[in-house]
Amino acid sequence: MAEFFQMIASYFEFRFVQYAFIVGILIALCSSLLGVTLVLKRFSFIGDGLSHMAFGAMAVAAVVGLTNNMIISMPVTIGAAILLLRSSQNSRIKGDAAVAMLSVGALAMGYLLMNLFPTSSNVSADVCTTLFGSVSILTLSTVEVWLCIGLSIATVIIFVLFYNKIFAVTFDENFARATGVKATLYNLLIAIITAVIIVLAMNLVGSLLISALIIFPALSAMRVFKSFKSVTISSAIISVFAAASGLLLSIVRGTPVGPTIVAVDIVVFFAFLLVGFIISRARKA
Amino acid sequence: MKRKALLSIVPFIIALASCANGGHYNARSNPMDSLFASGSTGKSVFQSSISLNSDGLPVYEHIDIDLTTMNATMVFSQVSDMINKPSTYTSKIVKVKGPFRPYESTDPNSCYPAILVQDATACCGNGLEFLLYGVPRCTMQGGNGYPLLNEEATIVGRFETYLEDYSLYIHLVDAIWLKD
Repeated sequence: MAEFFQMIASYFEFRFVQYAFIVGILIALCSSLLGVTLVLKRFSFIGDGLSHMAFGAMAVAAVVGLTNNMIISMPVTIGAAILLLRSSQNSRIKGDAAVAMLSVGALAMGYLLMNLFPTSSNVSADVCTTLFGSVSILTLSTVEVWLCIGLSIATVIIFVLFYNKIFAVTFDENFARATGVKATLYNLLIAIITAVIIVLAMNLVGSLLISALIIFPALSAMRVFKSFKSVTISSAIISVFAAASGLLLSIVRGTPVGPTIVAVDIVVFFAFLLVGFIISRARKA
Repeated sequence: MKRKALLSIVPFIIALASCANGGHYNARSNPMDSLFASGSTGKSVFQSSISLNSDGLPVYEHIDIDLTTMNATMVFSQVSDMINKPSTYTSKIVKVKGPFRPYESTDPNSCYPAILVQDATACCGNGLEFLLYGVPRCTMQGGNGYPLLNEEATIVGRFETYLEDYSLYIHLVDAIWLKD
């Protein structure tokens, strides 16, 4: 056991491992805060749609030769998030269908563009690392780390400052409007933060696995806790725990980072499902 | 008050996001393209300070970065870090093990010898280039003092950077091939 901890301590001497943990934990925290809202607004799959949109935008950025692909991917993803979150039930294409259409459409167009106009000799590796985030989190630059810290702090501050408004808009948008809450403005805020977090989270788990980072902690917390506040807090704790232990496992065992974190999220979900079941049985008895 | 705070934070987020240093799609998923060597023999300008054994090969008494003891995730991450922040590793003694995968040169009679390291999903790969001490440039099939194509080899060498065509590249110089 002592050897195991010694090995972990030796890995933490590497700068890129320290960066990975800082960024991984921050992204997990932010995505879980948003996750509760998105799950309750029935937008669990929006992470997938937006990350695929970001993938398509990155492909366009690569084709036109932009080294900083976030110049395109960030505004495109924010635009898509605003469109999706603001689309009402009366729109001609319903919310889930719009997300699905966006998701597969952007993914297909992105891959098609990358194959038609390859900017490198190794397209499959480019696609693989973007989709599955195999080790992206372990290869971050100092600028990216500071960027992530800044965005994460901003996200947490916004969430804490506007907690009551976000709560109101999440549960009943029409009621919130009737009581004078500027629902459109807060929906816009949620959309922008969602898009920013998703583009950042692509570093951690890749674009195919982002939904897991958003929905699993929220769903796990909902198995046991019932109030918005308790679900949000426990979701944040679960998400940070899963990201940290997943990262640790992947470094120690040499497994891909993204899938390992999602695997831990799945295990935690079933553990909470069991706890929730036991609690409900105990209450009935 | 809150509205003011909201309006002041949103542009901050967008500005921060826009100044990001690119995503990983372009920046690191295809580092193989940037790994090319210069020079025609493995002897560096520092060779006079190298201690040689009785066979005339460099002797490395300690290894600064031993990639052979790390798993695939750590090896790939470590080599990526070497590519991204090469100045941190200058003059460090590095030991690496993996299949020999030379890269093509503009000279048809030459190539850039490298050891391939892959991530855990085997979808991403970095080539860590090296120049064996006193051995002329390899061919694409290997041999002539270098390992054969795809042959597993353990290499120890000193980490250095060099400029070629206005780009900074990395390689291990004064390298030796450890044959078990």
